[in-house]
Amino acid sequence: MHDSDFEIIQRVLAGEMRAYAELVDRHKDRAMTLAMRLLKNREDAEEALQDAFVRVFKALDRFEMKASFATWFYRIVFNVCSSALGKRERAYDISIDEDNLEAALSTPPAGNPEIEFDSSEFQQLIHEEIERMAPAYSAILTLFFIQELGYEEIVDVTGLPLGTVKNRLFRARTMLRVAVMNRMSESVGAKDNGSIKQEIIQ
Amino acid sequence: MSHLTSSRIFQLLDGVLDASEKQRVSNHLETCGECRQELAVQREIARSIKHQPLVVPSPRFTDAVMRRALIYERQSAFVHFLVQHGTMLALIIGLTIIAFSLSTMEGWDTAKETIHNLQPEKKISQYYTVAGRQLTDYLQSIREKTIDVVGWENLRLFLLTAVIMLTLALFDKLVIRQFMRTRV
Repeated sequence: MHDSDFEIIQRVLAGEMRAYAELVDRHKDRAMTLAMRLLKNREDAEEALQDAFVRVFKALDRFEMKASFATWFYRIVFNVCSSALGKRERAYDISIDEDNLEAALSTPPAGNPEIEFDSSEFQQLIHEEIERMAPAYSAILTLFFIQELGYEEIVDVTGLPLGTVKNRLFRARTMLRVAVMNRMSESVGAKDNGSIKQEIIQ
Repeated sequence: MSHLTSSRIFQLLDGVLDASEKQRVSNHLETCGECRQELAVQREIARSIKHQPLVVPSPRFTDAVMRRALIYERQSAFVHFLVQHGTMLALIIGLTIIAFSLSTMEGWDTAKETIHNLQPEKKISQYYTVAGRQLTDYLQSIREKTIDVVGWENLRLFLLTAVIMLTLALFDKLVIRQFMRTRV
């Protein structure tokens, strides 16, 4: 049976440094996914993630064992990646994504043949849409669905207000819904673009 | 009958509806095919997001992290102390220099005497008022060149400027960056 995160941390603090590699191996893929969603560049994401893991190592003795390791860890990853993003793109603006959303909503449904939900085409469609999203949305989506954090935990990780977290999650999901709608036949789409757009405006 | 909003469908999928609300939504779904269809689409989108392949870092990633962690581990306790508490230490030293610099100004003894004679409850606010006035007078004197800025005065000016800049930099590092994290 594998040790829990807490047990590994205790081993590291007791001087068994190699145990930290276990912790890195356990979390690196999910954390890398988050870093990629934020930085959109493999090299930058890997460098930022290395920094984050080293920071976590340095701060291990200050980690409170009563707290959630995942929340604490992803807060550090999120902050390091956000700083890297800030340095790289000072001009980064949320409105870039608003434009994308408006463009998506104004595109009429393509009327393509029905998509099988289990098909690789559907998976690929969702993948492409997430890749296309601005970091502000794809990161929240990743924290919610991949890291499986709740709203309050995402608030803790990102430092954003609860309303903003919920709003960004809603918008991210809506963007995906619009993308799917554009690919599905009209008989599958239960709602038209207009009604979804109306909801967003509201 | 109006359809469920996307927001309501998300809440149902996320399991955040309370029992009565969940019952109302379930009742609606029993009679509304369009909303059932929408729920199915949203459920599949959520499932698809969860099953997206994770991004795997390069094979040497863990080794690279461990190498850097090892370097940190081998640093002396003194270096660790400086890294962790260096800014606070610098801030304390800086404030001490400011206090020293202020206390050597002309008229400080008079100010202290004034403060000493104040009512105890007024001392703290008066202290800062006098200190502020002293600093303003000092900077005014320098600007008007009524004091000698050569020698000790010059050094004091240099120290004061350096300390103010250091304090601002540390304030930025210690306080502002803590509360104004880069938002995405």
